[in-house]
Amino acid sequence: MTDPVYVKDLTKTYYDESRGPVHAVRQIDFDCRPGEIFGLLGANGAGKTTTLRMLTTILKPTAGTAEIMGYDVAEEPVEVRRRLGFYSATTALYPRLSARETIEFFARINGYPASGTPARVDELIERFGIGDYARTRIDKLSSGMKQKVAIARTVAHDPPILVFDEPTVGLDVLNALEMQAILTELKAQGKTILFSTHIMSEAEKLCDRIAIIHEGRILAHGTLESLRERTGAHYLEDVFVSCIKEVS
Amino acid sequence: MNRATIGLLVRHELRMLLRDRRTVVLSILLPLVVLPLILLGAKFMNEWRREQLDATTYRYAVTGAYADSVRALIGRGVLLAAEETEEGRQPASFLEVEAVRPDTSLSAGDLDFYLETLTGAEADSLDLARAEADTSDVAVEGGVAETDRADEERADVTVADARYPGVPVVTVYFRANRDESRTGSGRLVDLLVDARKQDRADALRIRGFAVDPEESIKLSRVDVATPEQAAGFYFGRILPLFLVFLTLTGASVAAMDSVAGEKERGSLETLLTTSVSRFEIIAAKQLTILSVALFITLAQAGNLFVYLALGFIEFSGELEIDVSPGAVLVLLALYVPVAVVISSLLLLVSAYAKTYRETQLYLLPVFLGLMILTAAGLLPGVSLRSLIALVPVANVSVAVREIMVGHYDIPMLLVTCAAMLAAAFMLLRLSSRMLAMERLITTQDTDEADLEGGAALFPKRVLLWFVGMWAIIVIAPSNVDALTRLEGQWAFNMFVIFFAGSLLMIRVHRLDWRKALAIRPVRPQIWLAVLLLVPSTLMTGMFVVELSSVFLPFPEEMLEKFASQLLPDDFPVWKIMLMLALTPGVVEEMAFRGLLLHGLHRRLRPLALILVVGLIFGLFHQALFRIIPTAYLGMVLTTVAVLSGSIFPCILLHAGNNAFAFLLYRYGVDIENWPPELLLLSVPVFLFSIYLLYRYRTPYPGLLPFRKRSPADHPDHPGQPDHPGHPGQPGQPSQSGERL
Repeated sequence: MTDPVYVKDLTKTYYDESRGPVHAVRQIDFDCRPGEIFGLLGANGAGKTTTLRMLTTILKPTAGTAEIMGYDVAEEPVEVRRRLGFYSATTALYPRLSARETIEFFARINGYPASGTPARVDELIERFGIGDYARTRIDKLSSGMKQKVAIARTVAHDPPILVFDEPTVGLDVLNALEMQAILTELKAQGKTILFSTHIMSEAEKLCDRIAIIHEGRILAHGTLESLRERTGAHYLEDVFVSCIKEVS
Repeated sequence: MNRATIGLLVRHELRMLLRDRRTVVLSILLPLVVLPLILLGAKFMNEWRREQLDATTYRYAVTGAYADSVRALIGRGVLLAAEETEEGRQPASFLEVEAVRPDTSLSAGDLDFYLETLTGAEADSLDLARAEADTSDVAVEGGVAETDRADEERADVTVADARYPGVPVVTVYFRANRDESRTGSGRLVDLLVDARKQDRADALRIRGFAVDPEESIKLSRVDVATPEQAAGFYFGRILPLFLVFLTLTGASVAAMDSVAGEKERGSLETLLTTSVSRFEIIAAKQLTILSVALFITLAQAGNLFVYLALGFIEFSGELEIDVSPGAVLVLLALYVPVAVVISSLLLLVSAYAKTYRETQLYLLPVFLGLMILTAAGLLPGVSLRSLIALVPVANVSVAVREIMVGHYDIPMLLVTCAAMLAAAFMLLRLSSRMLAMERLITTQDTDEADLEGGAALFPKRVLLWFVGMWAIIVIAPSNVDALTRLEGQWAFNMFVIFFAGSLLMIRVHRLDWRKALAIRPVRPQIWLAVLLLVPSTLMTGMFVVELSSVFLPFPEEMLEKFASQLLPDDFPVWKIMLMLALTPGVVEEMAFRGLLLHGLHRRLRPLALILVVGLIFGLFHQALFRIIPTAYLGMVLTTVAVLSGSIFPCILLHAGNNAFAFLLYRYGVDIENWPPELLLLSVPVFLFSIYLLYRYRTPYPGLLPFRKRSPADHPDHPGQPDHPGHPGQPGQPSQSGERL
């Protein structure tokens, strides 16, 4: 069976007006297995977001291939997007829609059957505890409330793969913990989750496998145990530093 | 393309738009009330102004030996005017006042105008003196002239040549910058002309000429067009302008928010990660903009008709519109493609802009461009059975004019519709591509540059700077007298606009002045190339002039007049060299091959860079016939800058070219009359100079590659070594430059 996410030699170079060519991602390889949480761990500017944007077809790869459920991101972007949900701090909601309308709109636009949509929306409203403010406009909600609506809209069409780009950035401790609980719950439902973070403890706690990315290259990837064995360090922070020292 | 998905998106877009209360009130409801109010207000203002002027008593003075006769003439004119004044209006009232120095009184506002009179003998001796001095430039039409004292140097009324000996002269001095002065003097001249006509008729009658001289031939003009046709001709010309204006205002409401607004809010990225295709997103947004444009246009048009029907706004009573239902359908069938093209164009602008504010910036030129195209219907003699049928919007404008007078050219109407739909489709495809252009999807790039400010922002602002400079150069001379003279214009353009403007850009954007002005040494061979380019650019430029004259033919006299104004014979050579060769060579090069090139060199590939910088240089030489030749010179200069990487060869070439052209003119060498073989000889010299520049090039640092690189060309491609650093770093030659 094909892995839900398969990445080979994926490369992204773009030209910046003031900086010239920028090699954001350089020939990276990895794959995500069904029902696992795969973490991309790296510092700011390491290439995490660019990688995820290529996988979600927002950006086009310069070279290499990436497949989502067997569909090539460059060749069949619509089929790819049908099968995934993307959550990031930069993917904002529509301020003039209510929470219910938001979930309904994204379920329908992603091809969820019209007849089943109301029941699906009710289910998500209940699961994420949105009921009290389901009819309130997004621009009137607090950031914690918006976060829940954003996750609900990400999973509205029930995709098999979920991509979370730094989902806890900007959240307070309680909301960050709630986000982690949601990710664990989604994994329990059988979803394949690819998520990026620069917070070591979060990766350590949630991920089945981790890829350490630095300056656009994947330095190492595997389970936490295998990374520990390879570097001889116990804490993920030390593992991370050790991998970077190896290449510098 | 999924129709259900598009329907869903359109409903979503409309819902979002209608929930934006501020947009609905300011852009939809308010114009419905404000537009008729403006028209109503303008009508009242006009009437009020007319009443005010009717009630004004104009104060004037009469000077000179012929004053008494003129007073008598005025008296007869006043009586005649009283008989002929329209019902409901008062005849103009005039009051003669004493004025020792009428010119001073006119300046002080104590007089509205004054008349200077000369007897026939006085005028004869004055003419004689003037003929000797050959300075006469005063126009008198049959003895009565008007001169604007507000700007005597530019007074354009005057010719004394037609005067017969012994005929007295009356000159009316007024100030065009004062309403009472302009209107009063105009009314008095009309009155004098009428009185003079009456005098002439009386004189002829006394001498036995039985027929009124005005009636020596019975002349009449009969309009055989029906009132409907006349009205159709009138409405056919203004209807497209009216509808395009309304559609533009309506469509821009939805267009600005549609893509640029979503980019700014971050919701576009969310939408792009859904399973909707980019073309579906664009199609839905286009339909939304179109719906809003159609709704606002129809609402505004209906609103105006209601106000017309209620009589709040008056139209000429002679206009009777009679359009058959069939014609209405054809007009509608033509209007819809116009609305589609306009909404697609505005969508493209919104997709191209990264922010709401940027969209607003681009809308003005788009508005102007579309209104110019729509004005094609006003051009006399342009028929739909011509190439205009292929020019979007302009074709519909001409078609509407023809339909309104009952002329239906069905094949050409079909061509018009096809051209419009093709244009709309192309615009939609372009918009869709914009959503695939990564630098346009997110606002990250702009935000970083905004935060960084200074040099990082300069490439995004450089065109705005030049638009501002161009606007000042165009507007200033018509408002400042000193700038109408050659020296004033030269000093202003060179030192205030180009020199101070360049320094200001360097200061505001905190640019490294050496880099910004391309202060770099060049190889000695480059100087040889430039010396060869001086004559060969001018001579090859003659071919460009010939070519441009095919498209934009200008009368020979006009070109000669321009040359004599630009190169006055009484100026010494050193002065002309300073003004037209040395300073433009240095100062204009600082601006164009310095800052403009520096600002654009990482935004455009080399060929586009040469074309754009050259064209902008041409546009600064405002006279229409100069734009193409100077754009050619600009392109050659930019090529030199791109290949040599330095401003110095450009300065030499620019100054040398101007000096060479002037010397040929001053010493009567007419290059246009040279044998073609001699001119053709310049082509190999020109090409050899460019070859030399290329052969010994030290390219402008940090240029983009000549063409877009394929991934296979990329340094990161497997099998190729990594290139540390990138072009444009200090002290490092440009990769792209090496490719050049």
